[in-house]
Amino acid sequence: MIRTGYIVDRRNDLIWFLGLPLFALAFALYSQFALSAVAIASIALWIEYPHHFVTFLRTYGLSDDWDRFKDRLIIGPIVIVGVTLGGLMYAPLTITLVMLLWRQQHFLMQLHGFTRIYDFKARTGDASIGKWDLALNWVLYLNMFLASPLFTRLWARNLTDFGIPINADTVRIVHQCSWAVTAAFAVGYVGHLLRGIKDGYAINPIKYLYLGLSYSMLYIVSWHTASVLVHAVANMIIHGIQYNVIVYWYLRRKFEKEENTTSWIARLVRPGNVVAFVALGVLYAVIYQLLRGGNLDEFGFGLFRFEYASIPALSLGPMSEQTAFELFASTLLFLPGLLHIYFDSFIWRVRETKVQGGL
Amino acid sequence: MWEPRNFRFLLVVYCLGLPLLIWELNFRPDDAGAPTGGSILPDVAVIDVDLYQGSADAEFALGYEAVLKGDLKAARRHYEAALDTGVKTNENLFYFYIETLVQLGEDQELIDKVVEQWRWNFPHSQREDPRESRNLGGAPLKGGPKPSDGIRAP
Repeated sequence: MIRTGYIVDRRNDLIWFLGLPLFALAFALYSQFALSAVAIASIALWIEYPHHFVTFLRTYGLSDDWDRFKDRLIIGPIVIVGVTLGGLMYAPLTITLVMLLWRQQHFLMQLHGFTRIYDFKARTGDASIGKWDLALNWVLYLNMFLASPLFTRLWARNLTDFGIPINADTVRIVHQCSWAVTAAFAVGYVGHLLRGIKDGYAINPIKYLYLGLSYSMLYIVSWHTASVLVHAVANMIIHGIQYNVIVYWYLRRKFEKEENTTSWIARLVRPGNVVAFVALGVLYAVIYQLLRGGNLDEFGFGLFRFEYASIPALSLGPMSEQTAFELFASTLLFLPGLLHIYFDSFIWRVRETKVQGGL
Repeated sequence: MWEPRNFRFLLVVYCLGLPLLIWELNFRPDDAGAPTGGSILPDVAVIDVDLYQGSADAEFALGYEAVLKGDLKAARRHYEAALDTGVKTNENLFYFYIETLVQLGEDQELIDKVVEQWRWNFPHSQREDPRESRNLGGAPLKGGPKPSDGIRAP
């Protein structure tokens, strides 16, 4: 009747899939209290960008994925970039709304994906549980989108921007309908679950714990804080970090099964190399941030400012933001040079026999 | 090998956007977003005030409305109520509040403190120092930001 299964293992799931939503909530509330609005950009930099990177690592780095999805990996980016640029030029409201809705669909599909993995690993649920879980995720996420104050403002604003008249009564009706559908579906879902148990299908309680914790966190930040900062920080933390975790373990297990130890990605995800995996994601984020000319404060959650005050004694005025950025970027580029200087200070001692052996 | 059926999902995503595209290009009124219900506030702000009394966005909207009615003291109260909720991502709120304080001739120390908060949250804002602004606590400039700009996408 009850059979547990984990995405990674008990310990990792406890940290990354069950504990993380609570941490994300706490950190987001802390951000609201102690950090500036820059924190959203910082979270995007340190978590969002690396989670994009690991997608590229898997799709373009794994020969298996490349062979299977080649046409989509080549044509997809061309179409998406073209449509987005065209949209920004001719129909900015539409393209913005499509991107926003697609992003929300992506968030909910990740939640759904993890619920599927839980059932897959525990071999639980009947043949139709995948469809029921998909519907459950859609209903719960849509209800949050339609009925929470945070998202209500968002879609109401978009509707008015499109010139579609709405008022508070319309919104109330939408909220009531959304809750009614959610409640009716919840009853149907529980009924289906009970019927499955009666027919001898096991359920994985960890899956429901994961769903419960994730949606509790999302609902709390969407209803009770009504803060864009809190919601964005919490949502990006769970979405981005959990994605990085699943990609890491997916690649690691795949290479272990194939006994592939030669490819560079296999080496990257080898046990003990997790720091290198994370570092590569961080490096990508830093490079991306520098290339897009993003603000430097975003590296440090707004706590550190890249400002250079004037030095009257030298008749120097305050440095402009652009100059500060260039100084930072050039310093960063000089870092490998510093490492070269430092390493050379100890690897070339001729008095050492190991060095003599190579001469 | 190019397989059209591999692009079904992408096609569905963009096809769902088609009605929006058609609406935006053909039916969207020029004054979309402007107040329609007899209020001086944009519709989305009226909804906020009606549904989410006491929220940061509702208080911000009420503050803006008070400015438009020339009641700067009420505007200040509402802006402060909005800030008390802890909201940090609405730059207009900080900016309009400072303008209101300036117009009310409030204590320079208080104004400087709020300016510091504004700069802390929006260090790269290109807007002029509100202490030198001639605006009236958020009264809109032609082509300037609307109060509904304070409501941002998650």
